Amino acid sequence: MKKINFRVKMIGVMVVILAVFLSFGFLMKNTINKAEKTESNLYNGSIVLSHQMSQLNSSLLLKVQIPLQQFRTQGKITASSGYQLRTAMKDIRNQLLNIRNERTYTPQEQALLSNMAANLDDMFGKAENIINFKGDITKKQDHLQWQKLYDIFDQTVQKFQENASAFTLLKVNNDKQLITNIKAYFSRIHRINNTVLIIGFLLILFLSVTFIIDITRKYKMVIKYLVHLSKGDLTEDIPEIAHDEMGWILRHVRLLQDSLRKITIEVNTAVNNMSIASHDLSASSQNIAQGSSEQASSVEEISSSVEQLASNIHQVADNAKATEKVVVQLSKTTSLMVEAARKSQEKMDAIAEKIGIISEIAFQTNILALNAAVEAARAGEHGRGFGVVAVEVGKLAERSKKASSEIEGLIHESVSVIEDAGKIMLEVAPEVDKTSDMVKSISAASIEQKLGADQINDAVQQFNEVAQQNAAASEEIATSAEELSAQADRLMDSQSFFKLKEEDMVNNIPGNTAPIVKKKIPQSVSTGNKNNPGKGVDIDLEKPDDLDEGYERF
Amino acid sequence: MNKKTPPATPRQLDKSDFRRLSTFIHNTFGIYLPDRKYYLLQNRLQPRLKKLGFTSFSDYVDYVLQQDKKGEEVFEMIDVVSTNKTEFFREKEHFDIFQNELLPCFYGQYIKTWSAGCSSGEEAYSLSMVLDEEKQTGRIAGFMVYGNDISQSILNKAVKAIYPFDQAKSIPPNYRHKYLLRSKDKENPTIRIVPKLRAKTRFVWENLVGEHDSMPNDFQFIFCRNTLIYFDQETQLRVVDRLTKHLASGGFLILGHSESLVNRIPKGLKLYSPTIYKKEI
Repeated sequence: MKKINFRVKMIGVMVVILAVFLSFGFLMKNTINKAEKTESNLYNGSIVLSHQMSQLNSSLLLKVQIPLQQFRTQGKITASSGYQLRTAMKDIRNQLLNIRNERTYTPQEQALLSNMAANLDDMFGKAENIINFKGDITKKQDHLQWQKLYDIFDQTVQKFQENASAFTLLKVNNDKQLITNIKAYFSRIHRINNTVLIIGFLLILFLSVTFIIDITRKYKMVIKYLVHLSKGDLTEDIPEIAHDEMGWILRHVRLLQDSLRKITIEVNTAVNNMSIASHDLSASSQNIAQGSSEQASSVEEISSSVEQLASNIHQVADNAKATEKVVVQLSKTTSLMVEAARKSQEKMDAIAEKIGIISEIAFQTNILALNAAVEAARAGEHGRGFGVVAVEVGKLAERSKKASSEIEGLIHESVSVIEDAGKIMLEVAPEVDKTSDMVKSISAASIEQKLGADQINDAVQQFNEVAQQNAAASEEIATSAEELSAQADRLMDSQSFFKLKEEDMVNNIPGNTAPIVKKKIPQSVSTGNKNNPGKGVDIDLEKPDDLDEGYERF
Repeated sequence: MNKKTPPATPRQLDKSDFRRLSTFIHNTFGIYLPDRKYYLLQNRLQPRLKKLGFTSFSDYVDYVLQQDKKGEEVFEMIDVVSTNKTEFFREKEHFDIFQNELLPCFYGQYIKTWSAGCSSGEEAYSLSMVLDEEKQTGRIAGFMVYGNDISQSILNKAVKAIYPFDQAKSIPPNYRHKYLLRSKDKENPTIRIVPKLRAKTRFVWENLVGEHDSMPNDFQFIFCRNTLIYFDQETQLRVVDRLTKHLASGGFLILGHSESLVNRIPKGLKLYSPTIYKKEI
């Protein structure tokens, strides 16, 4: 039974029902046929026969008995009447023959009918005797014979009628039997009909119920496992139920379940690995992002410092260049000064010479003044005024002499100072030259330094840019990695829809890989009013706070 | 299954948007961003765009500029744009000179020190350590260290005074034991400044280029190291002028090692030693 599918079952059931109905139909048709035949027999043998029999009786009565009775008193029968009688008798005989031949009769009826035919022949033989009578009824003997012929004839008639009524009686009885038969047929038809109905109903009921129970059972099973599948429950094994269509469906559901299991196990493993990997990735890329962000900050600071430094070095280089110019000028100036000192010594010597002349002139002027004073005294009253002048001139000469000797002294001092200066200048000149050379080399070095600093600065700026880019990129990566791990978690969530048997579970159950929890330091301190950012905000840290509980002495 | 998943393609900063924003930043915060800082800006702003859900830089720049100088996003933006790089006892020579040469000028006094552009506070706490050391020997009467920055988030870090454990390396060993706490959590080791020093250190959210100016005017020391480098020359001088006003007479302004004021020392300051300037008495 298990190996037969629904189609075959259906066909089988149809065939059975069809066979039952066909056989019953055949039986019914047969019965109905019989009933029909019986019914037609009844009609033929009863209604038609009774008509024929009454015709026969009436023909016998009207065409034979009554004319014969009319001739009884006359005592003779004319030839024509005799012919009519014979024709009538022949006709009646034919009628009986017809009755006998038209249908089949039971042997009893046959016997009665043969008797009737024999009676009829006998009767017609007696009638022939009457027709053929040649006597004279006026004669007593003949009359008696005549009467006797009639009596015999009447006797045969009576016999015929006895047989005929026996036949009719028998026939009626037989017809009654036929009617009973017909009734029996009909009741049989009813019976068959009822039986067919009942059997058919029961059969169909039985088959339907069986079918429905079977289908329902399997259908429920299929639904049950489909519902399991739809809920992602892959824990229960799907059994083999039958080889029919439901079994076929269930078998494919099982194949689907198997595939889902395989896929789920694979996906679970993959998702699990992915989750672990992506959490690792997220954690390490966050570290990298943080590291590169810190690095970027450091590099940013370095780059700003270096930039400032480079600008300072520029300043220094400019300064060195300016200094170099000054020193070169100084060196030139120094040699000019040496020359100047030498020249001024010469001039001083010349001045000293000239001063000697002035001193000489003063001396002579003094003598001349003395002479003039003597001459003025001689001149007496007239020379008094001149004497005053001479004294004044003498004083002037005195002052000139004093001044010139002072100048002389100063010149001597100057000369020695100039000599010293000249000497110092001569000593300094090479130092100045040396300084000049050194400043030149400082200048050159600082220009080189400037170029170097520029180069370093450029490099650091580039480095900084790259560091910022890297920081940005690693931030992006960290964000992506975080997103990836979140997606892996979501995927794991989705995947947990499919429930597997204990032994199919992946060892690392998704929930066990704890996502990285970012530690957050509680924002315990408020820096105050953000809506009024122009104001500085004082932050008070007087007391130990709760966070100190997590700390101990270093 | 999938909810949002915007494409991971990076948003591109247009040159013109870059210029609009860099001009705004320069005008508001003094930070100078020439064209070559393009990637820096693009890189540092990406997280903001992502967070706010902007798909183009153009929209974001519009959003920031329309807020003008007082919008919340302006400060969020400068938080990410400003460079915050510092460590404990950075450029150690300055601390040696500070302790051995400069501080003796003010022995016996109450010392006020300002760490201008303090970032996450390492410099301020380093100064606090040195000053506390001096106070314990009785050479100074007391001290207070101020710090300021334009980035709120970085100031929050400074206030919390929690740093990665590695940073302890740059702190002298004898200071470590005195002034550091270490976390009990050994998986994620951090250090924290002791409450005593935190109490002596004060952080103020202030823009060195902004109008508001709430700092005291009698600092003996102002450390402004590696802050000027982010400004252009004109802004640098403006800031130096401003800092000079906050110095007590004879006070010192200490700049970063690359931040020489060669050839442009402003009036009122004279070079004391390289990168150290003294306010004239």
